[in-house]
Amino acid sequence: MKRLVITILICFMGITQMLYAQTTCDRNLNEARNDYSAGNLYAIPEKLKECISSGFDKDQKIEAYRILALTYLNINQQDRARESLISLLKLKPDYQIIEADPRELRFLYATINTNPEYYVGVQTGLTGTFVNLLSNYSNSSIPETGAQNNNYKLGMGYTIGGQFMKPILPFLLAKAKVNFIHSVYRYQGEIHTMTEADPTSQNVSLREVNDYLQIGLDGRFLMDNYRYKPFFEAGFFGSYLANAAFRDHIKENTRQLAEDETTDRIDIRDNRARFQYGINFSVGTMLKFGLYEGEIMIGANYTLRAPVQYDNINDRLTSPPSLDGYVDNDYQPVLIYISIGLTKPFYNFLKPVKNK
Amino acid sequence: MSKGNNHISNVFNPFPGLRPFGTEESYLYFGREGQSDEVLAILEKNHFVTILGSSGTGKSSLMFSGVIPTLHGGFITKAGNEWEVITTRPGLSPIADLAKNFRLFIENNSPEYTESALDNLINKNLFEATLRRSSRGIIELYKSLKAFKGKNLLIYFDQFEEIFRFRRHNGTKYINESLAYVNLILEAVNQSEVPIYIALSMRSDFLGDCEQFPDLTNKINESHYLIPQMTRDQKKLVIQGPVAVGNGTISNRLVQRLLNDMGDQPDQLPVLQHALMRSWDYWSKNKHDEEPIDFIHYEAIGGVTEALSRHADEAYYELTENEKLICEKLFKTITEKRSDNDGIRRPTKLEDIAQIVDEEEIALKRIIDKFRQKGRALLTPRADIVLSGESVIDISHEALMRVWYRLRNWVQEESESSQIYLRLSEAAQNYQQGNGALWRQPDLQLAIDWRNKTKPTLKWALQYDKNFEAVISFLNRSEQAYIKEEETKELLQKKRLKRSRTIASVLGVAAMVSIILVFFAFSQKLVADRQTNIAQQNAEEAQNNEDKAQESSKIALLRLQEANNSTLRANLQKQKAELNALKAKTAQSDAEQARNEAVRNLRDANASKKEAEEANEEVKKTNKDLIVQKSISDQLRMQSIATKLAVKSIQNEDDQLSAILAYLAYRFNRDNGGYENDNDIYNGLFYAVKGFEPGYYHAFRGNTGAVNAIALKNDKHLYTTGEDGRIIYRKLKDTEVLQEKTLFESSEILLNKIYVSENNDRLVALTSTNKLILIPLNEDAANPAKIVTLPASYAYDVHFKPNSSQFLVSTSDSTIYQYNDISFSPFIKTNARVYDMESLADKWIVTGSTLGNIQLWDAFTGRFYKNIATNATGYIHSLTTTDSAIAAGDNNGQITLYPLDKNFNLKESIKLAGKYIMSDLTFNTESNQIISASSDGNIRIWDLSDPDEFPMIINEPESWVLSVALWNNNRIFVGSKDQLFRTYPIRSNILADILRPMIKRDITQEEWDRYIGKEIEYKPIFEESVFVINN
Repeated sequence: MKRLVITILICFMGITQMLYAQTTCDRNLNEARNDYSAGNLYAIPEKLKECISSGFDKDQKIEAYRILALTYLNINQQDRARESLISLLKLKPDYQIIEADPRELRFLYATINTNPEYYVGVQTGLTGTFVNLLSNYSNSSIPETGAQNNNYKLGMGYTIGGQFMKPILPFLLAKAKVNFIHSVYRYQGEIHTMTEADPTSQNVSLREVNDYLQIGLDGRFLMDNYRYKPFFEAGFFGSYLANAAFRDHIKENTRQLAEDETTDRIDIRDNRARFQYGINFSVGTMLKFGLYEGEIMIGANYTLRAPVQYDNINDRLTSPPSLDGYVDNDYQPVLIYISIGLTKPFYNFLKPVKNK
Repeated sequence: MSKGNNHISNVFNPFPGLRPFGTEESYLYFGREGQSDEVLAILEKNHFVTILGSSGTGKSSLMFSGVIPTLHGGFITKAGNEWEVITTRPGLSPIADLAKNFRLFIENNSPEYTESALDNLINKNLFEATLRRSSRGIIELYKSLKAFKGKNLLIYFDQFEEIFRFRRHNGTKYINESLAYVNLILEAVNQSEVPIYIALSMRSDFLGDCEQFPDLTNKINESHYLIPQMTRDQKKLVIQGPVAVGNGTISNRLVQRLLNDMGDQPDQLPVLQHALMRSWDYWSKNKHDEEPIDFIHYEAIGGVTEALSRHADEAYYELTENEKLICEKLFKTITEKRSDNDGIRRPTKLEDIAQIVDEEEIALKRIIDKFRQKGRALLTPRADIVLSGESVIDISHEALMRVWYRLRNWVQEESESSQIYLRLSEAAQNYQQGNGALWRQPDLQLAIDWRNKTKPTLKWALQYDKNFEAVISFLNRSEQAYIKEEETKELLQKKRLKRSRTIASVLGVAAMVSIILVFFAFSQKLVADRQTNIAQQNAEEAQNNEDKAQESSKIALLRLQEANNSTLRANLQKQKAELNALKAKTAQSDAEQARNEAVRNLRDANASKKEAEEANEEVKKTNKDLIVQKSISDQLRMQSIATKLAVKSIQNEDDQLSAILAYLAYRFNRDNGGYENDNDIYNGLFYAVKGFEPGYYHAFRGNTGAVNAIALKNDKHLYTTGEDGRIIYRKLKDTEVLQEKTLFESSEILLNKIYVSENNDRLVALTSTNKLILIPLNEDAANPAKIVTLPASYAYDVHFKPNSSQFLVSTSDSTIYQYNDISFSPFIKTNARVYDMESLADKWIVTGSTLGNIQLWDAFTGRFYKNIATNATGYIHSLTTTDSAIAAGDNNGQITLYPLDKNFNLKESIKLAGKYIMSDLTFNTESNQIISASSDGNIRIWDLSDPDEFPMIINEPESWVLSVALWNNNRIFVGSKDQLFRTYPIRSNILADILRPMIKRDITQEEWDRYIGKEIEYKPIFEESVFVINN
């Protein structure tokens, strides 16, 4: 109980002290404004110094640094003026100098590197996978009745990842990214195994699920409109297949001569290329979100090295017990995505400015 | 100092602080010698005198320690030396207070009247009734009281302006009482049956209010005394006199510093007295041996600027947190702000304060006692008077409101609070009458914040108007209406938001679907094309199979059938595929003394009849002297009238009348040997001209931003630069521009300063970076501007070598570099930054540094010669030189003048006080003036033949003055941060010549009588002119 009372008292004293400091600092800021306009410049730094360390809120600090920068500029202390403006920018990196600002402040601002040095961000989104059939190897007694492109259906997945961007030119960012991609497509088709002895056919349905770890390098061309920055992005990627499986595989005899066979999961990782690569295109826009840059984009990954493309029919995924009559076909996946992200720009105000 | 003296110093302080000097303190009262005689002369003549002056000029002190003691000395010869003096203040109940002071006088002087409490009560009511009965109240009271028999009575009405302040807030009853009060005074003055004399003291800014009492105004016009501004020597006496009386010593340097710290303000006397009181106290407690009062004691108490504020803060910090809040309300109640940013007192009864701030009297007494305890008389009544509910609480002096920053803020807050209340009151009345609506945001929020923060009470509100209940009801109603409206809005907003979300979701899904469909269609086309090829192959195979079909009956037949079917499907696919293929701003005493001496001599002559003839001769001689002295006296009087007229001309709103008064002020001053550089005369003329031509002082247009720098060569080549990045050249002749051209222009460079070589052949411009711009100025110069880079980060000043286009430049690395047309090489290495360099006798360079050093260097070799002086008060910002003197301006507003002998040895330096940063200085050797530009927006012009005189101040620029250049020895060019480039004449006669033709009418007899006085012979302006008046 005693300890509680002491704690409350200390808190109360702290709050009282804080409120007192705030009132004093409000007055000091007001006096500094008046001193500046009256020309009493040498009195200003002392009035603001202590309150900047403690007593001002963020907006007051920003104004205090601005007054200090202007004051130092006008009493021949350019180095301190620069330090004050940099302190301001550290508090508010997107601080904008306007036309109405005194010209000396505009010139000082122009000597400070206010472009981001790099961006670090995260993103997530939805994916859709299309399959483009290259060659049909399904084991059908009637060749032309094998798997067709229309047997492959769009499946929905997701992606999540991180990115690092470095400005190369005012309109070009180099981007490196790492993503985890969960890609899905569906297959549904009729397999004929019609012989004289058993003239029947089977309906086969499955979902192929692939998990990739992808790294990529892109070039992002953008138009900087401050609040929003539309961009076009192109690059290439390499993927490592971490996991591949048929899910919900159902085999159904069309004549009901045999019981339906259902298998939850069939691991097919060994039947897929472990490393794949391809090219990437996307369009989108970055949006200013306080001190962060949000982004929204849509794009597509086109895999150049197909996951399934064998030269020898015997290397192919064939007839596991539950896959009678279905042989893996050569295909190329096309992954489209829509994603949102959030990036944080990082600055180096001390870096010298060129051509600004 | 002996031990005994030490003891005396500990208990006796010769400075009164904020309160005025008392009658018993006349031996401590210095600086206004002779002025009492002038007041008494008026009093003797008219039986009435009004002492006028701004707040803090020492009106009450002059009366208590000057006039009254002299009166007792029998100065008014006709009246003798039997005097009784009653002092009173109008206060809240003026007549009752006057009666009370009569009663107190009787109690103290004639005990036989007041033997019992009953007598006291009877006297109290009797005196008040007598005064209220008729306007002859004072006369009747005098006649009825034996104590006055055979004696003269002087009634001194201190702080008479209170009568106007209280009229404002206390309704009809007070207006009637104040009228009766003034009538009592007038009747006492106008009668001649009894020897009653009346003296008033009043703040001069209330003069305008006197028009409420026309008869009183006439009396004041006939017999007033305007307290003159003290000269520097008089101020010196104010400091040194009491110190000497107190057996103390004070260092000369502290005296000089005190004089400088007082600055130009006329109302600094109480603040000075307070600082001296505190310094004395500190000195007497902490001195070692025979140490004089010095910087250490002065600085320990905070100096003139801080002492009062700290003293008041000491009392404030002794209060508990809750008492501090009450203290704030207390001070807000007893102070008031006038419309012109000036705080005035509002003495209030303790019982009224208690009601206004809603606190117990006992709590208030504790707080008030802290502020009026011995040695801390910040509030009145004095500490030895016991407080009661009837006690009127007041601050000791208005100066406290100006100097104590906390009180200044409170006064401001109270003013804002009353403004909000009065606006609310007006709005509430309009609302009740159906002429106005309830308040809405943002005004409503301001009013709610005001109510929550100040928690106004009925008694508080009654200080301003009687509409409190209606205001609170109006505010509550507005608040409720607003809350209701907001709730409705919020509801509607929610609905809108919900609808928008639904639409956005639908559109989002639709967009996704569309994108997917585009990809799907593209993919399908590829598939279809491939299928077409496959179909064709199948067709061929089908044909082959047909042949085989005949060999194998059942199977062949079946395959043929299937082949046909495949062809059909392929065609269908192709057709489908084809279908699928389509995006924000003096002394007059000698004459009077001589005259009085003459009167005394005459009396002596009459008394000593033995030497009648000798005495007669003496009288004749004295009369002769008297004529001479009278002439001097008349001149001084006319000078005084001139000053008064100049001030009135500025206050007058009629442009023509202002011009007439300003011109007459100039003429009176000139014709009566007045000070040529008189600030009031100059400003009177200046604002009169400005009244006719507001833009007259705006020099040549051209630069569009602040004009940072001016360079003027041979009075005819003018170069300016500023924020707009342009360097403009103008060729001048008299006041005309013969030629104007832009020498340089760049939006990429910020130009700070410009310098032009003596031969006018090269211009160097300093920029905000380490780049310098060199511009050749010869007519035939073919080379364009050249940009060179300094070996340091920034440059502060450039100095051209004598008769050369080579120059030196001082930089941020404390080095002065030499530029030889090719490169920079170190020339002088200093121990601090040099902001200004000037040439001395063509062979030397003077530098002023941030350590305050003024040093001399060989202009050709860069060898150090000597340190002229070290300015202890701050950075040297500006320098200017003549062959025998250097002047340096620093960052604390001080200009120090260093006169030098042939060997550049320093004679005694002279300090001139300005304000803030002295950005530029220049000598006007022809008129022996020094002209300064300061960041406080003022240009000050001192006459060096009398540096103690008040300088001429041009305060027209609305922002920092950055540069000043002398033109033809009679005008100056001024560059200012407020984006206007100006030119001003620096002599009154030039302004007078400009003004004269603008005056379109003459002064009338009535105006002459009102502004100058009937006793001066009427002389119209145009009488001295041969010109015919136009219009």
